[in-house]
Amino acid sequence: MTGRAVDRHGHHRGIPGAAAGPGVPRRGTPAWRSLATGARLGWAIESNWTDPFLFAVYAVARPVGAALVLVAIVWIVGGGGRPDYVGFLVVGSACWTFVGGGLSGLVWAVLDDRERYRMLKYVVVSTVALLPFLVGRAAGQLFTAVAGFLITLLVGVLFLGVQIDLAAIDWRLFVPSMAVGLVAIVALGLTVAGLCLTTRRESWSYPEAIAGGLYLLSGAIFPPDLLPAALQPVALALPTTWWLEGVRRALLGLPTPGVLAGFDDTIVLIALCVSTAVLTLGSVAIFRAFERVARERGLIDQTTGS
Amino acid sequence: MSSSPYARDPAAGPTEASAWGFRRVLATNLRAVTGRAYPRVRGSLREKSWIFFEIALPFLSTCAFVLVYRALEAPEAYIGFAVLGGAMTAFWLNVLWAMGAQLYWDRGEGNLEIYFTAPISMMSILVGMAVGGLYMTATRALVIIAMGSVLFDVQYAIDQWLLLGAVFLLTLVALYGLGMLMASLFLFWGREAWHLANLFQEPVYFLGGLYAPVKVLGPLAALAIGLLPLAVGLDAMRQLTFTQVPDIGVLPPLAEAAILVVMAVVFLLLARIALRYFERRARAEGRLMARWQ
Repeated sequence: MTGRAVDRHGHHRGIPGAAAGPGVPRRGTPAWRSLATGARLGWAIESNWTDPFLFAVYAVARPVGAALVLVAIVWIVGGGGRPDYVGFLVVGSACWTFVGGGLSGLVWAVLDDRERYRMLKYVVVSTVALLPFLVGRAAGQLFTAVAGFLITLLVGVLFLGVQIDLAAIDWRLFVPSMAVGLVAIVALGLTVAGLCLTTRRESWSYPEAIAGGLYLLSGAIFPPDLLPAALQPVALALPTTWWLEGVRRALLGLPTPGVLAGFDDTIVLIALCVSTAVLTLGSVAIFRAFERVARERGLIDQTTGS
Repeated sequence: MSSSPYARDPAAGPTEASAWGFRRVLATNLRAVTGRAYPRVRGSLREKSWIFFEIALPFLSTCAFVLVYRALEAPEAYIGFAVLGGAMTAFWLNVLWAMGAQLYWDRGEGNLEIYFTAPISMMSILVGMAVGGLYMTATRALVIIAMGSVLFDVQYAIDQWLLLGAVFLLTLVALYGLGMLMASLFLFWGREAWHLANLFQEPVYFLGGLYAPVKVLGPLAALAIGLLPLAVGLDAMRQLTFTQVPDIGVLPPLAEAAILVVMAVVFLLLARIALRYFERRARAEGRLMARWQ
C-alpha cells in the first residue's frame, strides 16, 4: 500500500466513513442526519432530568433573574422614570439567553461526551460528521433559550412596562436579525468547542468567561459608547452588537442611542451579515484546525479527570 | 505483634480498637477538616486557569453593572455597590458550585464512598470544604475589590470597622452554613444538582441585592432578608461601607448582625439534620455510589 495510512482528516482508510482510496467517495452520514441525531440526543440530555414544570422554571429563572437585577438598578437610580432604558435592558437580557445557551451548549457537548459519557471517541470513529453532530448537541440548550427569551420579554411587557406591540414589530428586520445572529452565536461556540477539544476539562468555564466578555463589548446592557474609546471599534466589529441592535429596533422601534443610532436598518443588517460570514468561515477553519491537533495528539479519547 | 504503619497506638484487641474516646474522635475529625480544606488552600494558587476565571467572571459582571450605573448617571457611591456586590458574587458562586454541588462531583469521581467508609463525621468533610473554599474565595474577592476600587475610583466611608469585620465574618459563616445545607440536599439529588445550582445563580443575584440594594425590592426585601444570608450581610455591609449614602438599608446593621447569628446557627443545624436524613435515604436507595446519575 502506498501513501499515508490515514487521510487528512485522520480517518483510517479501511473504516466506515473513510475514503477507501483515491477516487472512492467517503461514505459518511449526511450532515443533516448527524445534526438531527445530535439534536435529539442533546434535547434528551437537557430535558429528561426532571418534570416539565421544574424544567420550565429552570429555563426561565436565569434570564428573568438577570433582567430583574438590571431593572432593580434602573429603579433605584431613576425611580422607574426610564422606561426606554428598561426596554433596552429587557431585550438585551432576553437575547443574551441565546449566547449563554449556544456557547455552553457546544462546549459542554465536547466536555461531557469526552469526559463524562466517554463517547466522543465513538462519534469520531463512526460515520457521523463531528461538526454538525456537535452543533446538534447544542441545539437542546438553544431551544431552551427560546423559552427564556420569550418569557423574559413577557415579564418585561406585563410587569415592567416594556412597550412591545406585536402588530408593530418589524418582522422583516426581526427574522433575519435573529436568524443570522443565531448563526453567529453557533459559530462562536464552535470556535470555543474546537479549543476545548485540546484542553483539559477545566475549560467548562470558558463559555461563561467569553459570554461575560461579549456581554460587556456587545452593548447588551449599555450602549457601546460607554466603553473606553479603544474598545468601541471592537464592539462594532462583533456580530453580537449588530444582532442585538437589529432585534432591539425590530421589537422596540427605537435604535440604541449614540453611535449605533447613526446607522439605518439596512446598514445594521449588512453589518450583521458581513461580520457573521467572517466569523463563521473563521470558526469552521479554527474548529477543523483544533480537531486535527486533537487527533494528532491523541486527545479525542483522553479523559482528564480522575 | 506486627506493627502497622497506619496505627500509631496499636490496640490490644478488636474491642479496645473500636472503643474510641472523645479525644480520639475529635482529633480524627479535626484531621478530616484539615485534610478536606488542604487541597483548596494549596490549590488556590496552583491551577492558574481557576485563578483567572474565578476573578475574571465576577469582575466582568462587576464592570458591566458599573457601566450600567454610569449609563444611568447614578451617584458615584452606587458604583461602589456594584464593586462590593461583585466581590460577594465570588462567595456565592463558590458556595453554589464548590459547596452545594461538590458532593455530587465527589460521587461522580468516586470520593464520596471513601468519605462514608472513613471513621469520620461527614460534617467534618463539609466544614473542611467550607474552610478551604472560604480561604480560596476570600483571596479572589480581595483582588476583585482592589481592582474595582482602583479602576472605578470607589470612595469608601467607614466609621465602624469592628462591626463591619464582624458582619463580614458572620455573613460568611451563615453563607457557608447554607452551602453545607445545600450540599446535603444535593447529595440526594442526582443530575438535578447541577441544574439546580444553575437555577439559583441569577435569581439570588437579584434577591440577594448583589448589584442593587435589597431595599429596592419592596415587599420582596423582607423575604430576602429572612432567607438569604447574602442579602442580610450585603445590606449591612453597604450601610457600614458607604455611610455617605443615607437610607439604603432595610434594617440597622446591628439588627442584621443578630439575624446573621441566628441564620448561621439554623443553617448549620439544618445541614446536620439534612445530612443524616439524606444519607440514610441515599443508602437505602443505593444512590451513594451511583455515578453521574
